Amino acid sequence: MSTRDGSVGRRMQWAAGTAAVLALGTGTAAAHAVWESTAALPTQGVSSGSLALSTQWVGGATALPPLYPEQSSDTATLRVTETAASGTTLRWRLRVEVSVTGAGSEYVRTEVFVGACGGPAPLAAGSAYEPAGGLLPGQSVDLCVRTTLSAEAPSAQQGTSLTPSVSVVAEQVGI
Amino acid sequence: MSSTADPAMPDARPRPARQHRRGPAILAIAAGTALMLGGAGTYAYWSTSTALEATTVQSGNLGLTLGGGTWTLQGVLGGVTNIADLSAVRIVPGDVLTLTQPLTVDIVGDTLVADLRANIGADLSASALGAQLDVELDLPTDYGTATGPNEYRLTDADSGSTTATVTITFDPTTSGVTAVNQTIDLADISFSLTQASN
Repeated sequence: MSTRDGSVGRRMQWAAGTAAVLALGTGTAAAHAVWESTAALPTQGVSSGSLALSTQWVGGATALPPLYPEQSSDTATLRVTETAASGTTLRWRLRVEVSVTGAGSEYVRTEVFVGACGGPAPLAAGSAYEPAGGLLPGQSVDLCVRTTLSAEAPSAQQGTSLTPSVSVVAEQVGI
Repeated sequence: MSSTADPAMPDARPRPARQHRRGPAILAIAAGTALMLGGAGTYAYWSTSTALEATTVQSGNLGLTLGGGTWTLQGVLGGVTNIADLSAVRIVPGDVLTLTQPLTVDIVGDTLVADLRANIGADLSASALGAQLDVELDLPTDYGTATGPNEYRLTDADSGSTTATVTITFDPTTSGVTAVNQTIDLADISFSLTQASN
């Protein structure tokens, strides 16, 4: 029977083990203390730009006159302006989407012109207006939307209302 | 036959458990210590000493200083332009800001090897704008050895002046209007020169 002696031995082993771990840990910590020199860049702010649009009917929005088959109606000038004017290298393009909702909307065709209606070729559907080099921050673009009722529109279309909507999107170019 | 106890044989009788063994041991240690202390004051002994030859040992040096840097900006369109006033710049996705940064490195020590790093602070990396920025450190091709992203290992042979290039790229895939109208402080970018330990 040597229960007490065994217990003392085990305690000695634990003590020795703990001491060894402490010694190793301290030694390791000491080994990781190294010289270091740091230097930060000077305090200096750098800001990001932005991209934002506003739209305005020049002279106020006008109600479209009634449409007849094979006839067109032009909107007033819609002025689209990039308002953030905040992007040193920023250039942008303008995407315009026109939709018409209501019964018989399939007989209505819309065209978007840059500048006055009937000017240079209208923007192709799904395309964007992007002059060479892109549009500048703060730049404005005038648009006109022409709406035409097809000659095939049935007489059932008489007296019906359609709701056109125009959405404009500014996209950064070069990305 | 008479039986006599054999002295070579261990006593088969159970020994009574020894009690209070610590007490005498402590007393013995105390007595020994007292004797030794007394002896230290009592004994005189011969002694001689010899100093090392007169010489000095000098520690090395590790230092890093920054000179005045210059900035350029390149957008996704157009060329590179010099930036006179960085606070007037408004960066957008795809922009690359480049800092040309003179450095003076002091690595003095026979065994000294050090790692030069560009560090991005938590304030910058956690900001909406900082999250869209990629920061990259480059050193001249004949200077140091690249050991990881934004990290170069230098030796005392690299002591002296060099020019680092830090490029900050605004992620061109940033969508919508993420991180517009934000400001970051470039002081959250730092260089460190650290003695290599492995």
